[in-house]
Amino acid sequence: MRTADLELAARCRAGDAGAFEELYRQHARRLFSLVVRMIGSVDDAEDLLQEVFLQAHRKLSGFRGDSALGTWLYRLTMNHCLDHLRARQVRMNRATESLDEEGAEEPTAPAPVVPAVVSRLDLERAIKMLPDGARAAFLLHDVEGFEHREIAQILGISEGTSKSQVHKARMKLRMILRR
Amino acid sequence: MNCELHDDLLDDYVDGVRATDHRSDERFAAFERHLAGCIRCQALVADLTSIRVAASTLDEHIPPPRLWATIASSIEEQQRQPWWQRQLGGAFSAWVPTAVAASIALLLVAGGWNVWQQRRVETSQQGGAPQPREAVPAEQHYEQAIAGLQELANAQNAALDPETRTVLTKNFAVIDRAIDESRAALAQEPASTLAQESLLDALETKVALLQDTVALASDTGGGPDEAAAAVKELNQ
Amino acid sequence: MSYAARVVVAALVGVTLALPAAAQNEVTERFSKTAHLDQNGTFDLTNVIGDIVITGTTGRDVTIEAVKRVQRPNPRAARMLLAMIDIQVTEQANRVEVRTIVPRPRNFPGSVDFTVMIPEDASVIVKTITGSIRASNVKGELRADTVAGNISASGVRKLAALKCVTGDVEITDAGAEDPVTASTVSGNVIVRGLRARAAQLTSVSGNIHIEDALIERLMVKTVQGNLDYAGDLARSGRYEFNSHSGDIRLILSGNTGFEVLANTFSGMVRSDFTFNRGRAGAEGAAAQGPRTLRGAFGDASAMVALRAFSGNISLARR
Repeated sequence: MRTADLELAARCRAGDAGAFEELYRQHARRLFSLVVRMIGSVDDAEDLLQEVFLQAHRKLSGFRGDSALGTWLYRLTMNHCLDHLRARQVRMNRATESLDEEGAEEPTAPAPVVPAVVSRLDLERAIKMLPDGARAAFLLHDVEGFEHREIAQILGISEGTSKSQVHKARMKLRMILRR
Repeated sequence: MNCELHDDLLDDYVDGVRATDHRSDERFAAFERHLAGCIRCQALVADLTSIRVAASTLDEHIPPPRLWATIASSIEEQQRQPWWQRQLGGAFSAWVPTAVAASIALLLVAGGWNVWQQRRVETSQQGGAPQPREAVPAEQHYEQAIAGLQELANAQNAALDPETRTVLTKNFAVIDRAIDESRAALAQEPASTLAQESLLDALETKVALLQDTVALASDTGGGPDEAAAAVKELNQ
Repeated sequence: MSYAARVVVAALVGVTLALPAAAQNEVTERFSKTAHLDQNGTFDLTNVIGDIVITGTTGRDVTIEAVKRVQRPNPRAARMLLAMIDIQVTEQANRVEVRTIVPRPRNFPGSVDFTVMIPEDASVIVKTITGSIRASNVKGELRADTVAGNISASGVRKLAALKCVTGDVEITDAGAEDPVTASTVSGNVIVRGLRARAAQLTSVSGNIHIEDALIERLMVKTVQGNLDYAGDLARSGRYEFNSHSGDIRLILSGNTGFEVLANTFSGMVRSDFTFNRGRAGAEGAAAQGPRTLRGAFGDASAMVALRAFSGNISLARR
């Protein structure tokens, strides 16, 4: 897997346009979905993903195969997303989302409070309400299917933090989706 | 209840881990025993599982084909620049948002073919909880694009034949009416996501039609000019 | 006959006679050419004014028949203008290109009508400014573009894009591999039989009618017009119907489960279906009102989003 990555990266560096397009085709869909949900806007997502791939193209010379090419690309993407969100927060003067939702009341009902079939539309809306870090971990884990180990690499956090962020996200979603 | 002791394992359980797996962790087996008799944890597991399952089946947002076209042409452009300029990255957009600018570029260059625009899943949301009017940034986005495109279209107005111009004018009026109605509705009910979405939809339609208009005008170019005079004469 | 009556009769006769007399002199010229196109080649035609009919057939020949036409009061002028219409055919092994060249195309008082037979496996790109386009039995990709005129595509296997500004777009018995777009500004889109992974059908002031289609991702949008869909839903399909001031009507057959979200700002929503709301129970009533409908039917595999501003929405079961 890694040699294939290095090969593709080498071909891209060498100016092989087909190789870079291959890279794009392999990852664009999932990345686009991820970005749309991270930053909450399809138009912005287009712009952002464009920047990501342009930067990826420039930075491919620095790819050493330390991680999988996909992971590298995801890391680039998530960094852009988080930067975008931070900048947007500053622009909108919004109070920083507190991560202290932990321990905020969870329903102690003895029965499930979330519908068995969660409406995808409701879920999409609920995801938007998550704090940035928790949303990132949740999207990578529950939506995209990455393991905590991979998420740690992508987000530059520890595996333990990844787990707790996903937990936090799920608990918050549970509160939001409760009927 | 000793629920808190096991909270960290609960997510693993939701992820599908079971004590019967390679995991020889006694804590996990203990958790499963606890779960068997704890309705609070059972409820929690059920809820989080519903969420996880729903998340794993979320729709893909498909990037429009123009995205690759934009990236490819930017890269090409970058490669034509001297290396020191390349490092600065340079954005395309001036007065028009990148996505729209790319569309215009594509339309003018590729001769007016309409580019597939995959719709967003998110904008068909309608919820009980009122959303703040966050449509504002998007709305400004569109207004900017519209202003720029309108300028272009006006400059090229003479290039279109009168019948086409009439049809386009009529349809712009239809779209403007939709925009006005949506705005009026939004003024009445600022929290209505439906009104927001109607507005954004109508704005998007206007942008698309303006793009087409601009492309049309540049398409219907002339033929050899020497003969043009002759044609004019023969047309009398 | 009295003098007055004679004048009247003369005037009447004069009127009917005057029309032909003031009428144009029409001159025409036929054009005919046969070219060869390799397997899976491309036929690319750009016209200015005139109707185009393209039919796929067996064999590797491209037979181009065209009628140049000019109408002027002055027959000599008409003939000179006719001579200015140039039809250029460029032939390569895998591509045949046809271009109608006229001076001042925006104002040229002449037209060329084309009737073309192509190998059925060819891809077709056809463009004109004024005139209708009819393509049938095309197994390659089809792209058709006209400003003022109707487009009709039937028996097309790889529909790609059909576009006009004033005119209807009609699709009959077609398939597509890549996402299809069919759009008009002032006109209707009518689809009868389309299999595609993804399709986008749009108009601004016109109706969109779809029947007997199996499309996994469908986006239908108009500003002023009705949207009608009759047929099945694809499992895990995604459907979005959007009209500002028109009605949206779905008549669903088959058993595909779906999740629906229907909203209208000032219209009404009606449905034949009974929706389940999940374990949480009958809070469904709250999420349902005269203007909104949200629910799941069956296994909720498909997703249907219906949005109208002032139109009505109805979901019927066949």
